Amino acid sequence: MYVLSSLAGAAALVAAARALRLGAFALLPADVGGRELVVPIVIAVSACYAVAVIASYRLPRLMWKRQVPFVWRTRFGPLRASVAYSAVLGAGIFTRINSPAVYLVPIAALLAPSWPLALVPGLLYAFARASIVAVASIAFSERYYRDWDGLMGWISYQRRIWTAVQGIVLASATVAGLAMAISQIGG
Amino acid sequence: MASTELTTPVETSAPATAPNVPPDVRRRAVLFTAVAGTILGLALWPLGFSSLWALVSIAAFLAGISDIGGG
Repeated sequence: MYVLSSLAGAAALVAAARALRLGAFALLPADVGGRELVVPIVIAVSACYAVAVIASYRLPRLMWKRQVPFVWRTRFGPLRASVAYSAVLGAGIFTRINSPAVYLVPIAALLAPSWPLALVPGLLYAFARASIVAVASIAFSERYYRDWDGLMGWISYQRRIWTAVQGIVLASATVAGLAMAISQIGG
Repeated sequence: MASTELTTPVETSAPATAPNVPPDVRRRAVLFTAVAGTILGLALWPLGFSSLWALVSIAAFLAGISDIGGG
């Protein structure tokens, strides 16, 4: 239920981006700028910004610096609140952003040439985020009370590792996007 | 632990990358990321748009994985 709710949140974000795209194309000519050129460049610039945010502490992280409303827990009860939290967290952009690759999700949804391609990054993000939290909450339920500091240290270590891998993939997307754009201009 | 403990928001004010990493280690990590990313990107771009989309999707998946522990 928690994972499904997260997927619904991501799908809602993608649907909103696609609606925005429909509105934009209603106003602009369909071939504005050449989509084969625009899409790789925008993806490359976004990925480059995301990897720069990982590498630098000084670069501002664009995000809403807030968490999901804590009051939901008392208002809705633990089960319904966790489903509501999951939907908001699955959308990714409405709360604090720990992983800069999240920036690519709404941009990909906006630029993707088809609905399935628009949904893939958002749903993968939402699935991974909800699954890892749900699995960790079950797997570490005892350790949470017994060794809270140790658990937080382990989580912090895991975050650093996966963020580093994320940085390599983002750098690859930057280079691949730029190479695609240059080959479009050249050929 | 109730399953809601980790699924409810946790205030994570610390950045995902540790600020106490020594500068030389940090420089090497940035260099390694740039070199590995460039090699991987140049190896994949001939495959076309699908390779770019695969990279975006993998990055999104990794973003979800690295949010372990809550929002």
